[in-house]
Amino acid sequence: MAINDELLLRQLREPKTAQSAFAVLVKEYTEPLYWHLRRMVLDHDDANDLLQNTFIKAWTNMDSFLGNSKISTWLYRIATNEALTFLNRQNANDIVSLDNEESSAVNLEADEYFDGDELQQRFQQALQTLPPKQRTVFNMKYFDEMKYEDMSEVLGTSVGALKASYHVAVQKIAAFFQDDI
Amino acid sequence: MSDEEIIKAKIGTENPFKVPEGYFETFQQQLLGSLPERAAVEPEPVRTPLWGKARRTWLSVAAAFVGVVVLFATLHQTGGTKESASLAAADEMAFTEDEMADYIASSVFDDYTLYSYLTNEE
Repeated sequence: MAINDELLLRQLREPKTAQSAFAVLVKEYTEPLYWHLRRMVLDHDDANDLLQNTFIKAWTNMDSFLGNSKISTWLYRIATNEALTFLNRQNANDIVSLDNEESSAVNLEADEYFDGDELQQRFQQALQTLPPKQRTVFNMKYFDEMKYEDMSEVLGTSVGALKASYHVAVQKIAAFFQDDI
Repeated sequence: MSDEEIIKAKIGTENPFKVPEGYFETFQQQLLGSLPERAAVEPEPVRTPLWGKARRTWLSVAAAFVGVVVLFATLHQTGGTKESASLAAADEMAFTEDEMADYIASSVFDDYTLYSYLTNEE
């Protein structure tokens, strides 16, 4: 059932109904936001932490949400910023080496919450070679089939730049699998 | 077939990731039980206007007119096109320098290819 944004926002701003309205929000968006985060950070525990941060930030900053975008767009924006900050911090801490791409594939192989075959592992390895924001664009278009206009609102980037970024990302992935495809 | 269609045909869009059993139900319960107190937002006090409504309306119209004149004068002096071009450029800078350099250096587009892609892609 589609959530009525206007009604929900009114309830979220009313102290008596805020908590029950937020429960509706959490129920509706937990899974899509989780998978959006998980595809970015790969690890379940990291995705779980970021998801909690996302909802807590949404809860504490509810009054500053002006309602000039969809609630889903606002939540995706918070989640994406949380993940990009996390990844940028992680990249800054990691030692840059040629083994970085391989190590993420090794981690997936040993990950009890990864159910993909070798081809899927290589696909995830290919995705890890993309810069974080470009990987986000790829995930949102390829897996979520998000419209560029909606993506533009989430990422604060023009539709043209997003189209170009996705096109380049697809070419890189295709090149990665040149022998297989 | 486009590269995207080839990738989808070969790899698909299935989700290879799993979650612990009952994760989503547990997550929702735990989250809702741990929400911090939100500071109560004090409703704004109702202000009694000092001036009559009609006078305020005329002042608003006058202020809007002055604003339009100032805006026109500013744009006429500085050149609106340059300003909007720099704002558009700032929007593009939302990507990191590495990502933009990567895009430019990949040299996969000539102008016509890029134009075709941008105007045809949904």
